[in-house]
Amino acid sequence: MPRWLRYSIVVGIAALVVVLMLSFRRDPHDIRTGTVNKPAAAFTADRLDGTGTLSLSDYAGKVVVLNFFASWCPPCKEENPALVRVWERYRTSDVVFIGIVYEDATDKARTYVSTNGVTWPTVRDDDGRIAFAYGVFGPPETYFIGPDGVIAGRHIGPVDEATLVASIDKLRAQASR
Amino acid sequence: MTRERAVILVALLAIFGAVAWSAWPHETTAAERVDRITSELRCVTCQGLSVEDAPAASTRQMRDLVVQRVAEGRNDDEIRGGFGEWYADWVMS
Amino acid sequence: MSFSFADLGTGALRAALPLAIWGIGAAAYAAAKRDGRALASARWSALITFLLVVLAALAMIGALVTHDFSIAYVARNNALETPLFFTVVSLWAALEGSILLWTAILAGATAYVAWRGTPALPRLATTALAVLFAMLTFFLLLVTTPAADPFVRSDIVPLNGNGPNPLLQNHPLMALHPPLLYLGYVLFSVPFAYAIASLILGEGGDRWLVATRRFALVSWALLGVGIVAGSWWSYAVLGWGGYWAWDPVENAAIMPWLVATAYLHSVMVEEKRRLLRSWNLSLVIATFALTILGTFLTRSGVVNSVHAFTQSAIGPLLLGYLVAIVVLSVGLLLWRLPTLRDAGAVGTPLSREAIFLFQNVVFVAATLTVLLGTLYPLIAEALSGAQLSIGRPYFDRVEVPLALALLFLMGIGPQLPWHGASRVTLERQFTAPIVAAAGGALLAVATALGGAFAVLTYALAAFVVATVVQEFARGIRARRALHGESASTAFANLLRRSGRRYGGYIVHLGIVLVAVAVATSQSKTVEVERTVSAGDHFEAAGYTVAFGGLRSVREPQRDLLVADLAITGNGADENLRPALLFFPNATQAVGSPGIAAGLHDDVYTILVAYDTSARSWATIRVLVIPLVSWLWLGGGVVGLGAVIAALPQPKRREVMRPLTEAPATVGD
Repeated sequence: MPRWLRYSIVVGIAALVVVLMLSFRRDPHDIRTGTVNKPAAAFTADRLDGTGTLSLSDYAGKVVVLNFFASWCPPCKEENPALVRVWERYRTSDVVFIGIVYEDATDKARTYVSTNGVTWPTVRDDDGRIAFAYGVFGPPETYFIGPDGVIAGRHIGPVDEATLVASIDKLRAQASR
Repeated sequence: MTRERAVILVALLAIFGAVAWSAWPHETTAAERVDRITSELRCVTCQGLSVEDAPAASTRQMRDLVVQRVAEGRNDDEIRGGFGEWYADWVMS
Repeated sequence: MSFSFADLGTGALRAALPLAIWGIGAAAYAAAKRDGRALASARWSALITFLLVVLAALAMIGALVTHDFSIAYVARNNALETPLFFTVVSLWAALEGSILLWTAILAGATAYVAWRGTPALPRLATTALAVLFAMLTFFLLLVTTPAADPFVRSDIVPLNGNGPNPLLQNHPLMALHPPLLYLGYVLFSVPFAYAIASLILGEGGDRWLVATRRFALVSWALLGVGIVAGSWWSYAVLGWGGYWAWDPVENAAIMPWLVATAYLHSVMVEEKRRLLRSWNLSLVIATFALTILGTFLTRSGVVNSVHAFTQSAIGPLLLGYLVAIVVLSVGLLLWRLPTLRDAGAVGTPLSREAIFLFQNVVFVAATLTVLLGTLYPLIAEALSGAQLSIGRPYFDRVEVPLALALLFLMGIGPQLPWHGASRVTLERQFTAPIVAAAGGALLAVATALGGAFAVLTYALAAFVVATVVQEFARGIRARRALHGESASTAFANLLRRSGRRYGGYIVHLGIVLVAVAVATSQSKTVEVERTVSAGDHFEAAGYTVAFGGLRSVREPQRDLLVADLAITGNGADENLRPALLFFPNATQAVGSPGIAAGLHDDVYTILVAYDTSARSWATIRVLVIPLVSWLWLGGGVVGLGAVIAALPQPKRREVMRPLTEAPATVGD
């Protein structure tokens, strides 16, 4: 076997091992989307409770927390108390929560909303277009939109109170500046 | 030329003709374009399957969107690029 | 204290570990000093270790069957309502259990080598035994550390368990597919251990290879049949009408199979011509390393996959094992390289050995490109942080041409003699196959098969079939002339007395069936999707699909929403029940297709969506997939051919002479 071939086999194996070792650092479920730091996609959608439509543009200049959820999704139920608490804390200020139903039957989503104390506005997304436009992989996912209309951050999986408060406060501080 | 050689030649010509005929580009229909585009988009809720293959609801919605865009007359790159903007390179397979 | 399965299992595994460690030393000492007592000690260690690991596996099955939720594995993968069948197969439904099964198979292989391993080669077999003990020690360490201990206790004993993953309690193939794959994976440890033993002892000869040929063949066949069973399972369960998605788990299984296929062929070159010695050793090492790499990729959670287990602490351990295996064996190989001289070189490209070499190159290229595609997302993220995915477009584009090249080589290889052939012989040999290939190509065009690759597949398939038929005809004719046998006796004798060669041809026919099934089903599937109300019917590729309505069915472990369909037309008259399954432990409904399988085509029906409020309508997708059942058939034929090739042949003398003399019997 020529010497160069011997060396390249050794180098190739070493490179493979390094790649595999580095791969431990990543979590295959943590996938970035292309929409963070870009203007949030506008949408108009039917409200879940059947009282007309809701447009994102109605809340221009406010801090918007978009939460994608579904009744079949246990982690959504898990994060819901945190959402309720933070919503109660900020609902009177310039912060708005919008819940977006992800791949769910409308009647089941309605039951979920009423039994879990979701009092912020919720909308249907029957054809999934809103979820696509935000790059949602699966519920729960939460997007933070600043007063400038740009998506400042995204949280995958159940969100906790501290993360919600920190993200919202950062955007509010930015607004008052 | 022997008889065998002649037979081989004719057979090879037939194979060549058949392959060339089937490889000849034909006008793609809208359905074929949808199939092609969706086979190159990755299902976002299931792992490792393309939108053409995967049974999940989100892929149906994605497929519907591709059907609509094709009907609107957008070209392949525009349609793929739209998904790429939302889901980064991850969605292209 | 009362009896507990957890204590029994843990105790058995803890007792097996020191025995396996003892076995390494005893076998190594026996090999070095030719000490009979040490060998006997190693043998008994191997047997008792095996029995202990089997006891641990039985303890796990006992715990599953008795729903002993004090064991975390049972609580996570079993529930009171899980049917008995799926309770038992839960042994391999998740990480810890499947590693236990793996360990049991490896212990069985070790015991086999200890007691039956080539008495004619005592030193080689005993050294190989030490290597096997070392590998067994690693797996016993694994199942006795918290990372993969199957008997870890639950913190709180739940009243009922979680139940197995819904996808894994849906189809009887679940009982077959994972054990077949594991058997294939693990049994390859034996050729690997012999190869390493041969390198350690510095025996540059080919004896290790002859000694393990059958083991390699059997493990290759099990892996191959396991892969087909897996694709059948995914076809029957996952509900997208496909059978192969280039998922990392599938890639992990196909890579060692590809290299092992290359090895099974190049072995013949070494046997006949004493060539490719270091190459064959490399192939064995690569096959074995790929089995471990595959396990690592799918069991450590570093890649996305349909069936990757969750991120787990055993990842670093498996990676360490992989690195140790690769470094030690490549080091040994490079060290012994000067002693591994070939007796000559491969001569003319129109000889069988040259075709085998080309074939090997294509197989290795296929493996490397699959490996690259599987790891590319990891490489890209390590280098640039970009997250991307490699899917079917890449794999189809790269692997389909390589597969066609292999079909082509499969046709010409057996027709060429060792050392080369003259042009006249070649023309005579290939006239009929080339005419058959033209027939195949025209048939593909006539049946409106789309795409040049599909047409080429048909042409090459006909080519290979013709060469195989020609080979059998020639063999039968020779036997009739030589022994005056009837055609059917001659056929049976060919398989019995020259099974290695003619069994191999049957394997080739199986591969052709698979190739035709893939080409046809990929290019001619008809897909129809309709939203219908009860009483409606619609057409799909000549079939009439009548929708009878939706109904709920309650089973102990799940609820079903069933769509009643009646399929008629094209001679079919079947009732299909595609369903959505609701498991208490699953977030979303799991689709379950209704399939009417046929030799000509399958009608594959899926309940896609339904009216959740009034159940007045349902969306049904119907796929008419031609020839897909040939794929499972082909897998069976490959297995059959491998069995024929692996059966002991009666007398060496009776074996057909190599092909060099055969062309004389070809009639005009």
